[in-house]
Amino acid sequence: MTLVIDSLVKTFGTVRALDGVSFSVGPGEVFGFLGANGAGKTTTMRVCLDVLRPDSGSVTWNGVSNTELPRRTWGYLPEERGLYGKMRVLDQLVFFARLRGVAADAATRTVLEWLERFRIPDYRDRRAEELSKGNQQKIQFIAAILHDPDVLLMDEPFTGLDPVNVALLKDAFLEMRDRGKTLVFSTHQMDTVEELAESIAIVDRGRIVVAGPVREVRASTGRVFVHLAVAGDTELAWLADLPGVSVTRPGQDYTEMEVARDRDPETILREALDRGLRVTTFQIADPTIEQIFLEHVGPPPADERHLAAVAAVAAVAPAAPR
Amino acid sequence: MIRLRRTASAPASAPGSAPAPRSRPDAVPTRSGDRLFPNGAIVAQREYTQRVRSRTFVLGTIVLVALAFGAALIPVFTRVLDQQFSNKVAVYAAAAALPFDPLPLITTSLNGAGGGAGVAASPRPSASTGPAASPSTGVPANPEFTVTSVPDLEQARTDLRAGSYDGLIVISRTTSGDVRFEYLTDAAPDGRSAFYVRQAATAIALEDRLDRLSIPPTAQAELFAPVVFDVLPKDPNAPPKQSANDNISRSLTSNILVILIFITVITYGTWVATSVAEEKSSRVMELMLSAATPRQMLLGKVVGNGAAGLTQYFGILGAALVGIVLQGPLTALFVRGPTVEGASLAGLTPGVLAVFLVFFILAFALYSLVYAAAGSLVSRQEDVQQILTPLTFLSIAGYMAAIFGASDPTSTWVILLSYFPFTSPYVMLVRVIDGTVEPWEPLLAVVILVATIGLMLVVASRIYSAGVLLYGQRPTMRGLIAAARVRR
Repeated sequence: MTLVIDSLVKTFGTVRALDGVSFSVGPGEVFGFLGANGAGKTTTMRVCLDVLRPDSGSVTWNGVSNTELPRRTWGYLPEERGLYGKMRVLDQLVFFARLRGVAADAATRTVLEWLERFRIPDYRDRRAEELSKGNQQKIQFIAAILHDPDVLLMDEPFTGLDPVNVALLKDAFLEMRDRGKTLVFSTHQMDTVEELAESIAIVDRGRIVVAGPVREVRASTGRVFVHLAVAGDTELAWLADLPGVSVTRPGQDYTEMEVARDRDPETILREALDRGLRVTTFQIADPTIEQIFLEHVGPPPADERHLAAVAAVAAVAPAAPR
Repeated sequence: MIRLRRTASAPASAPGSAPAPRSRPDAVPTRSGDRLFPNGAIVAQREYTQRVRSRTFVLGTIVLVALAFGAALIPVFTRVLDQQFSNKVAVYAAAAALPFDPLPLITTSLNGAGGGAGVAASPRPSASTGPAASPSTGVPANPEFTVTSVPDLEQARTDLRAGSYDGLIVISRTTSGDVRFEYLTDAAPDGRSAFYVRQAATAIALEDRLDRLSIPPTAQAELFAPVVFDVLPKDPNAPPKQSANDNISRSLTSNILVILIFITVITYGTWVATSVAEEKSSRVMELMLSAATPRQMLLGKVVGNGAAGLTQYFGILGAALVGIVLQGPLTALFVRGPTVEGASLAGLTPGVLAVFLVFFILAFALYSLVYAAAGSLVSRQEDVQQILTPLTFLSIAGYMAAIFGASDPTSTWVILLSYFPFTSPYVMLVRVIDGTVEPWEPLLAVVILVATIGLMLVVASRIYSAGVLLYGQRPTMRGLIAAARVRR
């Protein structure tokens, strides 16, 4: 019941979109897939769905090659949102479910349940084009899970939603996990990854640079960070005088600093107390996924051609106006 | 490649077998993806419903149905419009212009009693003695034209301008002594009333001339008796040649049928291409690709849009047929005078109709597959027309070949084009209507067409699956050929 992605290589023209991507996700596991735009996330998902064939490498679920798997194994939420604009919501969700082998009446029942749950039951007879972007996204989410797929591939599922809808979707997401589904999602929101994913992979220019359980990935760097906040002072100018301490993120809520390996983080707390400050937050933390991401992927690569070319193929580049 | 069969019905604890644990027993991997059903049918159903419900379809169908109905009734309209003019005709005969009363002759002629028979009509209907005498049973009960004699020319001219009369016939003598006619009217000089008045005038003038030559009425009847005349083939055993009329209506039939195929290919083929481009530009394609295979989508689109096209067609044909059936009763209701025969479609036998339907459907299938592949190559709907232009030329070529080939259906290039799949629906149809083909010839053309459609389904779905993921890029010929060769 494990999804195994093994050494995928895919070349578009001269561009290597995937260069040996491998990872595996077990049942009931949530896997976060991180990477800059055009890094190869969408291409990996398309290869899983057998929409694209890799040059080499394989995708298996439960030991069966994806070229032999029925399409209803997969639930897919594409990054490029799209519905049939002129079609009524109920009609088109039933249509998608029927394509995956769900009987029309069963599909109707499930659709109505989900619309109710997502607090949009009135939209069943509306045309999709009349809905707001966020609501269209919820409709697409329903389209991806209607047929009760075993593996869910979700490309940026929470992007562009308000907090209420993010919470609704996260609930549904976690429910899928609890039902034993295998979940793979990509995102740019690092806090979402830390909240939901048990394991992650960071992909950069077709290569996986870091992969593993979130806890291990965070601890693996050996870097130590401190979060500090005191009452009445958000500047904390005195930190600059401390040896081995460098502020990585000043903030109104708290200040984050990296502490050199040979320094004891508690000296910072002691120093604050010695200065008579009232400490409201003191936390010793591993680096966040965001820091790890920036460390590995870094600033935008100089090789922009790579990104642009892959982006065009990966269907994110809008058509040039005539 | 190992195909895993559905084993859900097999007992899970079958000895010897070690089934892997699964969350759902019915989720046993089966590759049903390549089967065309039911997904092809589900896609077709969606395409059909969406197309038929769309505003353009509804409005277009209403307009076309109304047009077809109207066109079928055009003969009735022209008759009705025609009789709006010259309903009342005054006749002024100058003193002693004629030795007899011209009124009965003009009345009969104007109301079509001798219509079509031309000048051969009996010069004196009252004297129906010979075989040439028109069986003029007189004037119909509600004559189209009422003819009155007027004594005062100046008064008549004034009344005419005032609208009391629609036409005025002035009869006088030329200096050479022949009868002279003037027809004063607002009706067209080559219209029906002028035609009938000329007929009447010719008959009156002839009768007058014969009278002046002192030929008695009985002899006059003999004079106009029809001649014995037969056309016989060179070889007495040869089958009878088709009449010129028959040939004309035959080419009318083939023209109409070829145009029908042409319009179908262009219009409904464009629907298919637009529907593909629409899915692409709305990005719903991403979702569709994860649910159905390109072949299922392609075939569904062709079948769904084709069925919608046929629905519109039957609506139009139905309206036209109702109109044609109503022609007779409506003419009788609104038009006084005899009804006219419409053009006949000779050569439209049930056999030809069957051949037409087969070629009609195959032409649509072939072209719409190509159109669908073409539609997958553009990113925006506005670009659809541009990419379809070369294909439209291909269709026009077949259409032109059929129109020109009809005049010489036995030449080599026509015979060759009648087998080439992109032109055979047009050209072979024309040859079949011409009646110069062996039965196996259209059959062979159909076999070639069906084989090409099968091949095109494979090629088009490969181009399609490559094309639908292509955004913002201009497809190159090389890319297309490469895409067509990739086994998906």
